[in-house]
Amino acid sequence: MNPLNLWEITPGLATVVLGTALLGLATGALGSLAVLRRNSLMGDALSHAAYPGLLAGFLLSGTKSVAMMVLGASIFAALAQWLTGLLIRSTRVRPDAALALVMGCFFGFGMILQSHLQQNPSAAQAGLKDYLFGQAGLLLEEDIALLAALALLVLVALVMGWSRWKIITFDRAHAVSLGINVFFWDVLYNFLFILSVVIGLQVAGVVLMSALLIMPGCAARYWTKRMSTMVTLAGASGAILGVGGTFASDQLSWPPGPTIVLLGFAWLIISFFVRDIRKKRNQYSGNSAKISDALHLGGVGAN
Amino acid sequence: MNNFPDTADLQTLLVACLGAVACALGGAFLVLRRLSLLADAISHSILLGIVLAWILVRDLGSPFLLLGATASGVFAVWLVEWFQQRAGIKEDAAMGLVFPALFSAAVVLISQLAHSVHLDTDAVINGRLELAFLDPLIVGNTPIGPRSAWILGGLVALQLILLAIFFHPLRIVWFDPAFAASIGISPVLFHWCVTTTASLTCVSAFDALGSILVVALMVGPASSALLWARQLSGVLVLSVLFALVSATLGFVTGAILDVSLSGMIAVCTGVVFGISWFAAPEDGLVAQWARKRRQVLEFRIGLLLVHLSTHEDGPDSDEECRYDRLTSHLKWPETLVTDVTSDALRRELLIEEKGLLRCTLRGRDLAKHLSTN
Repeated sequence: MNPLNLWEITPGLATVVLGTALLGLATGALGSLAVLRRNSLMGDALSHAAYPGLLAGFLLSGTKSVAMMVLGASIFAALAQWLTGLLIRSTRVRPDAALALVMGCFFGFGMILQSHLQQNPSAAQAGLKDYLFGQAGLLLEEDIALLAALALLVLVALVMGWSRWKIITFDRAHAVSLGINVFFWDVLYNFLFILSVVIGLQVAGVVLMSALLIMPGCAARYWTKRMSTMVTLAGASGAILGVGGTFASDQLSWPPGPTIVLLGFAWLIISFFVRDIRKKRNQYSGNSAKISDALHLGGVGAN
Repeated sequence: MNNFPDTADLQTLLVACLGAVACALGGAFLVLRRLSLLADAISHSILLGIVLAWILVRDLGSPFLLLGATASGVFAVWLVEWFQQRAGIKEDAAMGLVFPALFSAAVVLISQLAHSVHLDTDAVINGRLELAFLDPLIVGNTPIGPRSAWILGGLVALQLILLAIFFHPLRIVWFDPAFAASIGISPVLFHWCVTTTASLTCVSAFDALGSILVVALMVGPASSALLWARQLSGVLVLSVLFALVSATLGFVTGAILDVSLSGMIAVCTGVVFGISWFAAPEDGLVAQWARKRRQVLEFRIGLLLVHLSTHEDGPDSDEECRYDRLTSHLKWPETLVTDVTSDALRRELLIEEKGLLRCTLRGRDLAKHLSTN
């Protein structure tokens, strides 16, 4: 027995591991921007809204063609995002209600399409339901190319426009006053966001997609106060969570999507407690520094 | 489909309507408190409570399952608040973290218990409205209607009783928590009462309606109602009305098209909202458009009055104030001049004498007011 093959990494498992790692990298890095911009729940709303698009793409093409389904899902997600923004801008409806409303109605439409599909069953639609909860195990080699392209696109966009992302994230008004084309960067951000959600649906499923986007970012926020470190850490931990979750799910025969999310949640809790301990220690050393300062000053005064 | 609607259809409609009213009442307070997405978080989290309760009692029909579900909904709310207050995570991210984690735990547990329990995660999302009439509540030996209808009916009754007792304090807490606290009504206590009720609503309704429809019904009718009404009582009444309309409309179209009823009702809440968005007074698109048009007209009348009052006593008044010369002086197209002048004439801001326009006393005052401001 090959000692390196302890985990019995079959080519199929290697594909899944690579796929989840790439997805974790892309969503972790991009999601930390969403966390900082306080629209973490956009991922949840968009993944629900994209579901009818997936089914519509399937209905139109008649096969599970990835291109058509991704296209359909992207169109629906973009429509949902535009509608949410319009609602928030032009009515008294609050952002939270707008998100929930758009999400509910779009997903309702998805349920209609789904029931229509179920009444006209065909062999091609087998496994279509997996988009609800994700089926990382079904990742194929051609999906890897798509995920790699996504990860590359996200990283290039982040690195190329780093200073602009940073200014827009923390101070929009300042960004506008500097003459930065905020509209362009917003469109790019939304485009990447929608793309990650739509591609990630296949792995994580509708319900768990948002966790993949924001968990690494939230956890990374506990470790650092610098945005560059945070985004790097979120991307890296997203990839590691993907790999770890896939291995764990393979070993325990748990469903992969939920396993990755649970691992991410554990990582978040650990990060919180580590920060908590570090903060307490800092407070303590801060206090003792103050005390020694005070003693020292007292000594000077006595002289 | 012959003899639609039959008894089964009517029973399904009853379940849908009761569920809609329960969700609308429970959801209105969440929407008012800007906690709409808590509905989403709760409705996803209750699955964990159901699974854990099942592990303890090993009976899918046990009322402990509902108790466990409600508890886990409240636990989810508590966890969201903990992340916000103790762990320094913003509200939106806190919700986005909590419910996927709880939902994942439930899905993993179900996958491990799959051989011994038939809990369909799919049904949690989609609901089983079409099958609700197959599960009647049996008293003695006679079935007395769908079990879900009784549960939801009881819930609506409970909500109405609570509302009748606590309407006044709720109104104060919801619009001015600080004032409420100062007169001895605890906003925190009411917050937990409302989230517990919301959790109870999600739990009672999700079995029949599915978690997504629960979210749509909690948020949609209340959001539509907020566009029409400004008083708490009005918002509540309209929410219930809109929920009933959505449920009936969704049921009928869904049954005719033979597609998912839950999905159709969810879409119908969106349709009702769309109509409200279009037609509501003040906030509706039509009202906004009409207001903008009126403002433009006011502005143009003002412009005309200032022009006339500047020139009417000058040497060039014959030229500048002549009705048929206004097009060239104000650079307005002819139809616009006609519209604006006739409106001003009707409101007696102007009078016409031999083709010359003159301001009335009121018109001159308005012009003076506009040009000095």
